[in-house]
Amino acid sequence: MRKFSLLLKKELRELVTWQSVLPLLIGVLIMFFIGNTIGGIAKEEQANYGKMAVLNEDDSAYTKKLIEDLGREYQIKPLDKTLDDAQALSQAEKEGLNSFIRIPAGFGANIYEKGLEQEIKTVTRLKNFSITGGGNSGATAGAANAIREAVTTQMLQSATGKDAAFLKAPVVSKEKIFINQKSADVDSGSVINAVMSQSLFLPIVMFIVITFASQMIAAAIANEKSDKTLETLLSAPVSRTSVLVAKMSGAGIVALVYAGVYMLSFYFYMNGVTGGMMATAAADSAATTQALQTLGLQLQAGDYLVIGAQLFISILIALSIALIIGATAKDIKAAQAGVAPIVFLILIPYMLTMFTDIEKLPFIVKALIYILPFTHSFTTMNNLFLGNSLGVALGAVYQAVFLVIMIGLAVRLFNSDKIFTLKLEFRKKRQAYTNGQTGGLSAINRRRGDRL
Amino acid sequence: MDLVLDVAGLKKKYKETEAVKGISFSVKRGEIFALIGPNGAGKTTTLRVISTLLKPTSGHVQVDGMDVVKDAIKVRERISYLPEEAGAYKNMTGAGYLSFMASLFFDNTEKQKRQIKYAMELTDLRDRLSDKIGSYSKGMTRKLLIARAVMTEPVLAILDEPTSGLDILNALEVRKTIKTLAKEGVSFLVSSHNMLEIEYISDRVGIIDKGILHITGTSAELKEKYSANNLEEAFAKVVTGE
Repeated sequence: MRKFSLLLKKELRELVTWQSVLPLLIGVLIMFFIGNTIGGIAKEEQANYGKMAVLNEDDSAYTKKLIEDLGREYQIKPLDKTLDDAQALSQAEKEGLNSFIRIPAGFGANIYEKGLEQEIKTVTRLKNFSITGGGNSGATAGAANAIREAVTTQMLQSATGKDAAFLKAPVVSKEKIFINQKSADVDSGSVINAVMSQSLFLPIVMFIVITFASQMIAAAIANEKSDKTLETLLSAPVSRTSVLVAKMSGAGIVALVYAGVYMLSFYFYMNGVTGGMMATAAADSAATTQALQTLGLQLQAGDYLVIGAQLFISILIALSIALIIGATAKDIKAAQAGVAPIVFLILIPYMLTMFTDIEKLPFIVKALIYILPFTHSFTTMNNLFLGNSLGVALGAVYQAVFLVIMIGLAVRLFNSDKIFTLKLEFRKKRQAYTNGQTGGLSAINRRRGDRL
Repeated sequence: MDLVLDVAGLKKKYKETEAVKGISFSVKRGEIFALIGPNGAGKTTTLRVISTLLKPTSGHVQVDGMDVVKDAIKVRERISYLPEEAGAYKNMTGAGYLSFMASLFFDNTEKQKRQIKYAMELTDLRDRLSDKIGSYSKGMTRKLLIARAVMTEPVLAILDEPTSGLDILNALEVRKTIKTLAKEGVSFLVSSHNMLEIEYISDRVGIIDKGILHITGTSAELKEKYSANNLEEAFAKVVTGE
């Protein structure tokens, strides 16, 4: 045990270096910075969302009433009606807005008295083409819609004398969701969004950490082999299996810490991005939260334990595969080339679970997907939400068996000559640039000898 | 005769290739035995089998009376192996590396400290021992590794090309160290391409080629037998058969 702890410490010391920690810290800082920057912009946009600029050329009572009604929902900034579009935009921009609504002269009278179709114009200045580039143009367009709705309601009411709201929507749809035997009155979109927001981080973190951990251990073992420190270590009085287990444990611990740090940085990122929008969504989410509780779609501490355990098994499986590849590779480059396909073994189930229901795939495809050990970590959360305990258990057992087989293979490799004799390329061999160079030199020397 | 290494009929096959074809030799206590031969002769394979890294296909190898297959862990307690052009853990300091290796060999803390101190003096690296090995020159790393190899008080130190890649002065220093330690009772099994080095340090020499150990003897015996001026000529005659 004393020797194992020495080996483990040595592995951790080799793996946790400034070169490996710095990119992680920079990544966390970048996520935090981006999250807060986007969140800040979103908050600013949201602060402007309730504001709108109106250039009203129509002095009619109809229009005044419309704007008054609009003022209950929006903070209206009136613009000087003598200005052209460009000048009016400049005035709106002084108020921190990048768009305005222009209501033409005679708007009210033409609609209500003459029954003529009228046009209201929204004018926007685009300064960039990012997601937030539209600025408050969305609010302005919303206000333009609100004007149209208000006019329609008034006209319907005066024409029919009936409740305009009823006339516009005489049929109301309601959704009821069933999850197994439980049901709740909630729309499916909200449920899917809420569940996805709970399970968003994990597959991304798992993908990043497994990819990173595989590269890390494959490079570490290949490096140790090419530096011949492995030969030195294995000729010391330590068992080969303890060297292997120390390597796996060291990489596993580092990977778990990385997973935690990534989870935290994603949390910072999402918190920063969504921080500004949470308040408006709160009212809606209260109803959804109630529905999720009714449907049993909220993860409990035990569920998180199962998810964490399966994440760890997935990491260990990836590490054992990478360790075998690294130990049989010719050098670090060959090890990295050999480990690269592991990414696809993770990417395939990750994408499939995100975009489709694996159960609906053709049998052969489904079987191939389930053979991949990482699939079960991606499907666990879904199975937990759906109360499919058998699915969770079978997935965990399969992963555990897969892990035992992989570790068994790694132990066998470590205890055989192959750990030193196998030097696989895992990539296309380059054409040898000379053949029989020594023979060539010997031949030259022989010829010289002949002449002498 | 106090034998620390006894190799008898050792064969090692890699799939179809027989790298070592039934060689036999022995090393006495305090003796420096050199195995010389061209590239691919089977030197490194032989050293790796003796170091318990590879398993022999047939034959037997005993270190201090222990079988390298059956008593592998006990053999490892009695040997130290320095592979050709080996490195050390670049993120460790020189002192940290010696401490790590010492603690793998000795349970007793006092003993560990004593042996680390001895190895530190042997390296002659002084203040540089607190620097990371990644910042060392090839010569400094080799000195550190040689010190590590003898720090553990091995019955048999197995050194594959001990002066490979070293400059003249560093190589000279390493050779002197080996000779001094042999006088103190450490046995050495050395492999090298450098015939001058072998002639200088070794008590006995074995010439190996294509997996066959052609002859063993002192440098003087080999030179006399092949009417050669030096070991290099004797080696050439053995290998080419001329």
